[in-house]
Amino acid sequence: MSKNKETAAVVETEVAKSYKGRSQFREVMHRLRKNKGAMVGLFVFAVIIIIALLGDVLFDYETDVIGNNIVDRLQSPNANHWFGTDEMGRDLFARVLYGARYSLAIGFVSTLVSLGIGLVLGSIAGYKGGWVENVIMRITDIFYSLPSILLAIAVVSALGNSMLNLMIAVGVSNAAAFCRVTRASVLTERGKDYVEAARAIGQGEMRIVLKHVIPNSLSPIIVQTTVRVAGAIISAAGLSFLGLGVPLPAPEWGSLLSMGRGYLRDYPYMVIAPGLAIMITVLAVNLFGDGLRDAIDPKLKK
Amino acid sequence: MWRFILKRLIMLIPVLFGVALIVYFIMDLTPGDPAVIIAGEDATPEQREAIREELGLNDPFIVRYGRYMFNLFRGDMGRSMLSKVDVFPTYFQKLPASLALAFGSIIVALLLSIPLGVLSATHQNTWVDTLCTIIGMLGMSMPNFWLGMMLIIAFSNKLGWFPSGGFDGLKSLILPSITEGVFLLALIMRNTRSSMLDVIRQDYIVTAKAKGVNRRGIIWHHAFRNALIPIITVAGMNFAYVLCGPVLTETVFSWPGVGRLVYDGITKTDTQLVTGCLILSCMFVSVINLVVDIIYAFVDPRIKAQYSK
Amino acid sequence: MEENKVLDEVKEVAEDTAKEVKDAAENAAAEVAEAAEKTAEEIKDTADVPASEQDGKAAPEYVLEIDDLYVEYDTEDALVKAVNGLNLKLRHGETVGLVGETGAGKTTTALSILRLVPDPPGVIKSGSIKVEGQNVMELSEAAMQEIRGNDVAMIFQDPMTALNPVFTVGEQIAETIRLHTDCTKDEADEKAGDMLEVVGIPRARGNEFPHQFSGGMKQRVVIAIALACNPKLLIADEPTTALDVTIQAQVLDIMRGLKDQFNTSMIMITHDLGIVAETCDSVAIIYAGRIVEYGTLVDVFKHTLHPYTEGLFNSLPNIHNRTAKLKPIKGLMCDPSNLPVGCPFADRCNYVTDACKEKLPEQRYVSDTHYVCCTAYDDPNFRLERSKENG
Repeated sequence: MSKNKETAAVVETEVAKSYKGRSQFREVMHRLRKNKGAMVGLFVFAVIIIIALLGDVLFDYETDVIGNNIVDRLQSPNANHWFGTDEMGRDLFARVLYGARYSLAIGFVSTLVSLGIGLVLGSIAGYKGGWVENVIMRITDIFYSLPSILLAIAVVSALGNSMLNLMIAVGVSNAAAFCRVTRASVLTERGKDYVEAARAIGQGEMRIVLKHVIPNSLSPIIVQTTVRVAGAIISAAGLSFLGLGVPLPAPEWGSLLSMGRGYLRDYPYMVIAPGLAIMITVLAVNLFGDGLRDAIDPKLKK
Repeated sequence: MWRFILKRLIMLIPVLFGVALIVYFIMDLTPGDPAVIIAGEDATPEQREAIREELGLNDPFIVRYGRYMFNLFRGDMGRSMLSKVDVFPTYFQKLPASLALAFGSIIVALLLSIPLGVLSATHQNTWVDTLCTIIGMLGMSMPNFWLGMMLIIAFSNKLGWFPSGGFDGLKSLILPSITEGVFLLALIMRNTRSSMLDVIRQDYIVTAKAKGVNRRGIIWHHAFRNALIPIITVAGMNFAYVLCGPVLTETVFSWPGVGRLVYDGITKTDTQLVTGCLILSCMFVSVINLVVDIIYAFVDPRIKAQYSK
Repeated sequence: MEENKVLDEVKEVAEDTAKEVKDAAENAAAEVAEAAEKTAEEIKDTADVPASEQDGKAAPEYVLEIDDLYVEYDTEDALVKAVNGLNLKLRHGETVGLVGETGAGKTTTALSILRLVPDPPGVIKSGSIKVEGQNVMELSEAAMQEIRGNDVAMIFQDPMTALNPVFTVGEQIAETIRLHTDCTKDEADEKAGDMLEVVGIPRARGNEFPHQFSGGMKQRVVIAIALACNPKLLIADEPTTALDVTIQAQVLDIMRGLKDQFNTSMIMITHDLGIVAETCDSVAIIYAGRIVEYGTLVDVFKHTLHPYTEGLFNSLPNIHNRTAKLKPIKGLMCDPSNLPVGCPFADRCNYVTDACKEKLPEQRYVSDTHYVCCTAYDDPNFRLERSKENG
């Protein structure tokens, strides 16, 4: 409402930061724990991670996951095959569960790729300013104005079909967004008085960036990261759906949907489970991300 | 204002230049050989070589790119290496379907998202809000190509209400529009909600209340217009996206749009086609962004003042 | 030609003013008549406090009566008791200064009168607020909307954020007029233009947007909005805090002039005792959501009774003795989510006794116009340092 209150709030947070050290982090964790949605999301996500890790323990890849079993082909969901079987008689339950690892790995790694590119370029642009910023941001504009899915398709086509290339493609196509968020955030922080103060006491530029600017610009970047993990999982599934990325017969969820699509009329169950799996995973990430955003920036909530 | 528009259009030129360079470069890395696809598997090496020579594929990258850009500046977008048809008409032949889908999905999204978002904000922390939040969450988390298949299973295979694919009249537009629209709906609804919540807390809303403005006036007259900017931003951005890239939805519904055209071009290493189409798409995106910026000026006089500077 | 137009305009304004003066006179007459009808009991009731010194003709009826008001904010972390048993009465044409530090409950009190305390988390727990004898707690939302901006108007602290950025200032003034008077859009626009001129802004600037105005100009617009419907009560919530000192004086001048012109009662919320001395008839010192001292300007400034009031005066620099040290009030205001049983000021008070911490002090009248809430006066010989000096 008033400038006074604002100043008071700023002073308060600054004081809190300096006195209690990690108190801001604790505050965030405290608020996060109180958020039901975030906790449900985190729990579901943890379960999915465990499933992904235990995939090889639960199933034998050669026989259960990719082994053909023509006798049992195209069975509707039943007691033996909870999600039914595909056209090769492979158990969809095993394939969907085993597929978790692909989606998670792609989601994380590709986001890390975007984060790495975006964080470096964005903070350089935001902090340096001048022509450096101009060049970086114009390149970002170019990437931003290309539809990301088409860009990813082009990159996968150029690099060749493989899981690693899929990760790179999704990562590169989303890097521009990170770059923009980082720059905007750094730009805001750079203008603040405490950076001026750090400079006034003679701290080096590098130190100011690493110790002051980046840590204080992190909130929007963290929020962006969770959003992008969710987006990357969907993009990766989409690319696999088109037949790019993880080669068959690996049970990536997008590939499962792609195969099921051919049997849409007569065996619709084939596409239900993999799609639900994607949705639940993304939902869990989104729930957690939303909670995290509210915890970091509580003024949005109340 | 006109100066602002002109400036933006001029700024677009280097971006298009960059798009052309990057796309051309990526396409060049792609291992496929158009000559093989054109001549067929059975062609002799000599035949392939002849095709390569004819298409100028044997020149170094810089020469080919330079030639392409030179032609581009003369207004010649080149032609598809495979179909031999000019890129320009090929693109515009696919555009109506894309436009239909873009408008269809944005209408689906706007019709529901704005009322729900406002309702959610004005009833914060009630069951209405919770319900809207859940809808928003689900909409955001659903892979839309999967949703498309679900819709086909239900409404076209089981109920037979709508065709399962192709672009043939209004009826065929409904399922794809919902498929693309649901994500947009969720996104715009969430943006509307948070934007409204933000505005409702502003001092000028208290001023309006203190004047004796009723609830409806507060929400729709005083708050909504101030909350519009982020809503317009998201809507504009996604309209642009649907216009040039919903490859997945187009694939599921065999929709003859621009996305599929580019996708096919990429898989067949049709560099000319892909670069041309993406340049055109970028131009559309930029024009839409510009329109969005102009709408800003009408919504917020402060932004208008900035433009005239 | 041009001159004729100007002349016409001048004539028009003159006519308008004449009409307004007439209206005001009529209002005043009606009020006198109404007052005459008051029952003897009511007159007796109000006899404690004589009518404001300067005009005996003002009706002995209160434009505002706040009785035992309690307001709380129920947040996730704590229950904040913002207003705790506040009483305040205000006559027609009177200006009361509501003085206290940040967080004392000044703004909450003001918002309660308009029933605009943000809910959630704010809740008006109990008490009554009567505007012109009508209890606003019992009114429907629609009836409340009739009162807001019409009978009771408010000027907000920060003019930078108090105006809607997407509407012209003319539209924003005209809106109030259209809401409360039966007139066409053109008439409302016309009146809005008049109001702009009243606060010293050229009529033509009504077509401009808030961002085209400076802070002081914006506050004038806010004042124009507040006065557009001739409110009976004007609440000014730190109207000059956000402004430059030079602009402050201008804005205060305008407010004072208009208040006199329209015979509006006013609550001036501030923490600036200088403003109080300049503009107010009486003063209410608020601490932790209660009024701890109330009296006329002379009462409170010359015959200060409450230690907190004394502390406020001591925190002001003394222009006559430049070497004198400021004596700030020690400590911080008590946490409104954790109020003590006794006097909330006890911990910071120089005169504190054990008795202070046991029981909340009650109102103690030392004259018809002057009361204090302080346990120390149980001792008939007790006097503040400041009062000793003042004699």
